[in-house]
Amino acid sequence: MHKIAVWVIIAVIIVVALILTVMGIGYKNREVELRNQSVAQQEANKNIYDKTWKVVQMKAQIADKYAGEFKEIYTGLMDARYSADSGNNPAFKWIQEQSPNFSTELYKELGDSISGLRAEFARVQNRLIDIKREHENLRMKFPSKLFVGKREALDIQIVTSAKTEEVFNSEREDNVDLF
Amino acid sequence: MIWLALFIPLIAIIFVSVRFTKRISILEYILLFAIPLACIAIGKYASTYSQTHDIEYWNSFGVRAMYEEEWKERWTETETYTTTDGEGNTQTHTRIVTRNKTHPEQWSLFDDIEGSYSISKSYFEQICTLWSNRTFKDMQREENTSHTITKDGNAYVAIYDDLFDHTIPVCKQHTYENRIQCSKSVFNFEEVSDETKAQYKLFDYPPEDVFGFNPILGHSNQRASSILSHHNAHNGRRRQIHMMLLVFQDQSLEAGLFQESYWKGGNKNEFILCVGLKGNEIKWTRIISWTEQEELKIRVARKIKEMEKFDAVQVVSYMGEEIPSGFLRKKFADFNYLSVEPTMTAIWITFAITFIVTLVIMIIAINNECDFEGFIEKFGKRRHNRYNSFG
Repeated sequence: MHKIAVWVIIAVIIVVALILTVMGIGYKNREVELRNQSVAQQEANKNIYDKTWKVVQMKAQIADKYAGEFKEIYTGLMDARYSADSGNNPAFKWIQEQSPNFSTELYKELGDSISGLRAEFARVQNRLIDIKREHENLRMKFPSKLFVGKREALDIQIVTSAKTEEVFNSEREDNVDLF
Repeated sequence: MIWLALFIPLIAIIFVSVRFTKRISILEYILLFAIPLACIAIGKYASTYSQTHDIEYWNSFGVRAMYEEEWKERWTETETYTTTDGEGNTQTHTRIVTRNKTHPEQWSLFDDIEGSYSISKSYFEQICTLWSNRTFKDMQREENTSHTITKDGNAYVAIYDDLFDHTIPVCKQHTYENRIQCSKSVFNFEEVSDETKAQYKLFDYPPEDVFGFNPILGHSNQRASSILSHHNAHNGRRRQIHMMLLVFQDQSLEAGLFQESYWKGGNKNEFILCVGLKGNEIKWTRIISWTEQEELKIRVARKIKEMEKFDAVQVVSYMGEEIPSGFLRKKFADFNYLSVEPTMTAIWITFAITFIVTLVIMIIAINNECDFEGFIEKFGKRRHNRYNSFG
């Protein structure tokens, strides 16, 4: 073989080695990036879950307090109305006087908060699942598999309920009666 | 995957170095590698860009309208030119030339995000009437230039009067990177077939209309469209929001779900309210938005549903008052963890182009007169001469 050909082949081998090195560095960095991201997201999820419960609890307490105080005011008002002036017909008073209205807006807002926060929690959990999906693709697909295929799979924690687990394990959902 | 196409020129390089050793120069080896490499890089970029490229609408409002009169200027400058004599010698000369330039009259509108738009004379007049002001502005052209002003031209300016009803909304398309729409992410949506689209009468995004964008689809109400456009305009820069109202007549909630899938969740700055009607009664509501303010989405959907009877003006007024203050645009950089691979079609096309380009370069390199030893000799001689000239 001619000397030039030998040098060209050596050059090609060097170029291939260089390409493989760059690819390897890229895939390994990406794997680390995804791993770190999943850890960070896991921590963020805990935070959001904590926020969810605190907000719901606090709002529920406000609604409870409002209901309790309303009950006290309302009972006091009615007692006074029907006992102090029993000579008159109370039915007419009911018509003439305006009774305080119990507002359901607080409960509706509480409902919005619960739904909103649950949706937010579901979204961040989905993000964690998505990061794992990306990581699995990186581990299992060619050519990244050659470089990071032996890395450990991500261990993510997804919060579900015992009921959900039971349904998925048994692959049955019998309790569908609405009423 | 697409980078594996690089093996085509590498194999070609080995082939020509073995079979045509003396007929290929170093430069040709380099070209045989570099040009296919560039082709692959372009193929990858084009495929990724075409998949992630998306269009959103940016809202703003006109703050100033201006009419500039025609004006003319004259100046002199030194020009260089070359001449060639009968013996083929070229000479460079200079001469002083006088230039004239006419700047035609023009009408423009400037918005609050520093954009400027050319408008018609009649639209300028409409704006002046709406804002009830028009002031003369001396452009002082002679003071701002060393050129001679042969015809002076000044300007007339109208300024926005801060009245909500007098807003001139501007809605412009803008491109951004959307990795979700082409990914296999859990956040992506299913593809919607043409049959489903027709069955549920799903909407397409309206085409760009800078001054006449209608944010309400499926219902015609000029006043409501105008109010929503004005709210969009005033909150475009501050809240980076684009609100839309989609009205579905005699459709189930599925229509809203399919609309969300069809628009792939909407653009990153959008807050879209879908309302399902039966006659004039509100049957269902659905919000399409990437915003992470989930509570806002639920509250708006509930409040609109509670209205029971559909009144477009009431709905958009509520949207304008309630949504922007609580809206926070989703940062799509959050989806940077999603990898975007070129499509299989793009990979095959890139492989084919790389193969053809490599083949063409190879044939040219083999058949031209430039060879390895000749190139070395020429290159070496030039270097030798250069060293000699430096003594």
